[in-house]
Amino acid sequence: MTARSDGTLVQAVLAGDGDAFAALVRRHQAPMFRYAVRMCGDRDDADDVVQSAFVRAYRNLAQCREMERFASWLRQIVMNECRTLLATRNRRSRWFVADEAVLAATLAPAESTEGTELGRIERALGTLTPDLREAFLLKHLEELSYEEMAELTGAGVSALKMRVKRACEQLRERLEGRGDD
Amino acid sequence: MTDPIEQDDARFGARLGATLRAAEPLPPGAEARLLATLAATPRPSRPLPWWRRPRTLRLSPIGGLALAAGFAGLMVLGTLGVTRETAPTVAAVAPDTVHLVRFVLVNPGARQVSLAGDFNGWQAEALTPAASGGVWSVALPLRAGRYEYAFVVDGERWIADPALPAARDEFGGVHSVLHLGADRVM
Repeated sequence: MTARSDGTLVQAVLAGDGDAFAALVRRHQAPMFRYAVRMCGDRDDADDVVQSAFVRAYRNLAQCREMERFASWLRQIVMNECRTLLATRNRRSRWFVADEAVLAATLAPAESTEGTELGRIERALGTLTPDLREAFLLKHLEELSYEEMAELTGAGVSALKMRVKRACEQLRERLEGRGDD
Repeated sequence: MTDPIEQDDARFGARLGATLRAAEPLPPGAEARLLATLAATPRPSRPLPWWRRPRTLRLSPIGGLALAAGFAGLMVLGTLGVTRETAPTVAAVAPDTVHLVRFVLVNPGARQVSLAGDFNGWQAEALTPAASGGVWSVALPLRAGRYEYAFVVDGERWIADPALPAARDEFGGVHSVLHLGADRVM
């Protein structure tokens, strides 16, 4: 049996088939979670972000104008949720956390990746500003074109290229230059 | 791509990306928890256009006469063919009744143009092509209020109305905002 397309599922949900959204959840929850983990640096926060994003998407599904591009629309909601979380976390950090080591720990990768290549990369990613991290992840994790990134972020192509370039420079410095400690 | 630095960055980024794409298992019970939350959330549905929403209409005799006069005026203006080429055009009838708004897009290269907005539940409504010149238009009766809309070109490309300032909604869509007052477009 051929899997129904995203657009078909969205139409089914809007026509009253609530179960159709479960298929969209099963299809997109894991990749959205992976992006959110890399962006937020914390699995619990990423879980909250993705749960919240799916609920917002469900409530506002009628505003998904290009139904076949549901994944792109959902990704944008996840990105917005990540930005909100990081901004909130940043404010909390300024208010309550003066210790750099404690702050760094909040961006540390999950325990299971400690000492691995993935863990080292995640730790380096956590030192980037959210703008640079987002641009790098959209380009090299999600493998989007700069035009697609521009559409998602609202930033210009040249600005995004510069962000990715700076992200690569800083990551290279942390991972290959003076080490990742 | 010819810049060696860009090529280096591309290779470096691709190497990191390949590692970052390692599967990230969902937390235990995450899917079930989300589905339970969604089950408790009101189901989304297509909003009905305002003229299809059920409502109760109470009319006094004088109000009835005024409404009849308004519709008569609307029909007269409709036959006059009130149009402009670039901006939504409003045929004023009477305050608090309806306006005949003509949406126009000039796009000679388009094979099909539709209009979608909150007034029709974002369900694309086909525009009628003029005999020549790539002018597409549709006239809709709208009450005073704030409306968001966009044109859909060839069924896939959403564009804002070039005649009005474009805005980006929170979900990344680009659309136009039409403020329809008692007797004019704002």
